[in-house]
Amino acid sequence: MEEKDIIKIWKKGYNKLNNEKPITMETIETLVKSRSGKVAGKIRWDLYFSFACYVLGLFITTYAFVLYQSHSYLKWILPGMIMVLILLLIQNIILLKNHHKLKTFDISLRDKVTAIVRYFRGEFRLWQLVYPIGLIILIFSVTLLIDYEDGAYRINQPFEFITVLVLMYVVMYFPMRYTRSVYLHDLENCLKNLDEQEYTSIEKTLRRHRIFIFIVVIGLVLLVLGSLVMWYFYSG
Amino acid sequence: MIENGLKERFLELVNQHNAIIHKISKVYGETLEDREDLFQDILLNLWKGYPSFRGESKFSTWLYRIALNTCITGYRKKSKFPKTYSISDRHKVIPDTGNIPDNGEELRLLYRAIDKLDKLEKAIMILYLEEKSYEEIAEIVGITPNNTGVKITRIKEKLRKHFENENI
Repeated sequence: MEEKDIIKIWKKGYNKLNNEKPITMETIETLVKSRSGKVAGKIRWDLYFSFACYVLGLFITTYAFVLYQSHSYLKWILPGMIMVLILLLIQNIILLKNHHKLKTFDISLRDKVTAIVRYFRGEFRLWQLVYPIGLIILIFSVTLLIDYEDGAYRINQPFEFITVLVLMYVVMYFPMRYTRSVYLHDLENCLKNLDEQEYTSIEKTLRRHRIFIFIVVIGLVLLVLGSLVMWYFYSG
Repeated sequence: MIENGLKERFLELVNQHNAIIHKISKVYGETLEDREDLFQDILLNLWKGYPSFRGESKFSTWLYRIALNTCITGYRKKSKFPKTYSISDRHKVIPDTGNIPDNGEELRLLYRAIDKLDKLEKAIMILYLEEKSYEEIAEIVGITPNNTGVKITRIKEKLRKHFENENI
């Protein structure tokens, strides 16, 4: 096929489509109703969920602080946790605000890809690191309230307490951390390809990703099973 | 909220450039569902972005930018099941057939060749086939006109080899 032929074929191919089904206001209104939030970067439900968790955590932790003012450790630990939650809340708000900026499409492809990669590799990754801490604080405060009714709290057994917290962190962080890695690798590839001439296939990344997911799943299953066995012997 | 006058102008412009959106959706969508999905994504992003379109560039340049950004940067999870949206058939704007009108066979071969390219090359090829200048392509993609020229030469070489292998 000659170069001119290709352009001719391309141009001729869809001439009819211009006159086929015209787009009407009704079409757009239906689209807006049925797909609001589906496009333009999508709604980040995870960020809204973390925001709700932080607010709830802040409320419960403050309440727990009032209840545990006479406790020797907790009267010092709880104010620290409140401070951490406030910082997490501020970070969450900034992240939501910056995510909104990603919805701009009227920029060059390079700027668009760069903005997405910078967001998800930078501040979003930091959020992924600290979000489980916020959840752990929330769970910790909730159990404190329950314990207030029942008596002695597990914090008095530091080994068990820290092991449970670390396990919770690992279980929450790793699955979240790798959910978007293929998509981001693809975009980074695209960015690299803008400057270099050779395209790097993401097939290798995809394979690595699948192996990693497999290892993480096996690891998590072993971790949960191991914890159950330990708990069985410890309590029995 | 878009005023009535703007709405009419938007519809007029979008309908004038309707084929561009179809072509881009066809190049980036693997299945009919994908193409419908992409078409709707592009249309919605155009609609949402129109109030900020100031006419500093041509409408077609703006449209290409939005459409290509939507296709290349949109995060899509591969679904095992076809997606269903509440949009009725009456409002569907992608033809229900995978067949291409007019010179079907040649165009199908061309699409097959383009399909072998990566997503960035596809974008540059679409713009090249639409006879955009190197400057315009460079502006949409975000590279220099010189780099655009180099890339186009390489893409054409790739296509030539593909056609040779297929004995076309």
